[in-house]
Amino acid sequence: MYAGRRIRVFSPLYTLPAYFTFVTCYRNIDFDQFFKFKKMKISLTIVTVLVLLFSSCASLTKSQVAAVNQFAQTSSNFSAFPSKIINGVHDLHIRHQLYAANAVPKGEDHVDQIKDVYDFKVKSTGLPEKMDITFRIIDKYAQSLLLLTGDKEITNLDSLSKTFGTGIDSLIKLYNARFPSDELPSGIGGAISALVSKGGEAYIRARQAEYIKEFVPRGDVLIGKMIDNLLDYLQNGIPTPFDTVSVLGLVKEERVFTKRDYLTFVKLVTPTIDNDRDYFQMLSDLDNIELLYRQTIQGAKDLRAAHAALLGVIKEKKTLRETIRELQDYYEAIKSLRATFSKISSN
Amino acid sequence: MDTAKIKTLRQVSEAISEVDDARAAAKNDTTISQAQKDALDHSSVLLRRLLNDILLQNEQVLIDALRVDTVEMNVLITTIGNAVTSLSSVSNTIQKLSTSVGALITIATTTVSAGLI
Repeated sequence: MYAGRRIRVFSPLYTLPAYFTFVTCYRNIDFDQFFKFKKMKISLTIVTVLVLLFSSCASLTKSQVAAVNQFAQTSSNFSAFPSKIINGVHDLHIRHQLYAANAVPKGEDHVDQIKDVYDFKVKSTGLPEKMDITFRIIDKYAQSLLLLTGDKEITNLDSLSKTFGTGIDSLIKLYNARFPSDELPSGIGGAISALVSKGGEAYIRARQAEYIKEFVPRGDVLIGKMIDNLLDYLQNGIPTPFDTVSVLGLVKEERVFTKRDYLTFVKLVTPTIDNDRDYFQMLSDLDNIELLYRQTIQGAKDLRAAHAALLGVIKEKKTLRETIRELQDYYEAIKSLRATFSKISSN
Repeated sequence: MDTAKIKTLRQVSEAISEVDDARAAAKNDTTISQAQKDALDHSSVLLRRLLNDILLQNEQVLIDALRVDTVEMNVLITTIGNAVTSLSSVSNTIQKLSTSVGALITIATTTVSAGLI
């Protein structure tokens, strides 16, 4: 099922006939043919070098490249899920505060409250800097991998070169400058960027497997670190000027705020059926944000496991059958995340 | 674990609930003056602003905003006053909250000046 056409023709198997020929010759060797033996010895060295050389040459089946491509496609916008948790909470905050504003008698305070809600919307759009860069690195890495493994023709080499190199490397550089105690390995995109800028499309395609073999192992360290950051943020909390606040703690507080503001609205203004439906939707959004929170933690762990499994396929020559569970778990996790994501309304 | 931020957010939220209950009760109460009703409405707006300021995370902007919020809260405490018994509890709640926010400002100022964030 997973045996596909080889992309590269080089394989250690091709050297076996030469090796057996040599062994056969060696057994039948005569002492009178001492000089011939010396030549054979040299041949053995050459064969050994070739075996080693060919073993190190990239050789991936089409299905292996497709597996990396599917992983890249699935991960290319992963940061949307954790971002939605924070943005979803902020959206809810705005919605229930508008109900509170509506319950303030018409006048200056009413207008001021709406302005306060607007200010909150404007100021609350950013994530903490470390998370922002972390999310961009995860997405950029997956998008680079997607380009590297795609079937589509490469029409713009300049843009490809930038995507591989400058994009991810400049993000890593920015991260290392801002968080020097938590340094990331640099130069992940540089080597590939140089190769891309040197060769044409045919050259790149011919070297595709080789590039994947170079990119994915380096990316594994990066992905591991980025997932650590994400899990730390989600599970341990957001550093604030006061202390560290858990994301789930904020979601739970928002549940209390939502009820409180709608209750104020109900007490001071007569609600319509549409208002009640909206409150109903807010409660549903809160549940889905909590669900998304749990699913994102699981999804992040699965992403790391799936990437490690892909590395096994590429580096340790594991078969896809051996790693299919990690990949399937990850794709199932993403499917659930997408379903929950789509249920949360946007402001 | 309830952190200082969560605890203060909860305190602000409880104060908002108390002010909003007082607003609902004062709606048809003729013993409460229009000035006091306006002060209650203004308190509700101010407390929600305070809540938003605490939720946001831009350090220096936050400290400055909280300082303004507490000054305004102290003015409100005087406006609402203790003349009407039913409002004295609201006034006390805002007073207590003002002290808590003051403590929060001290924590934030220390953290920012120490360069911890």
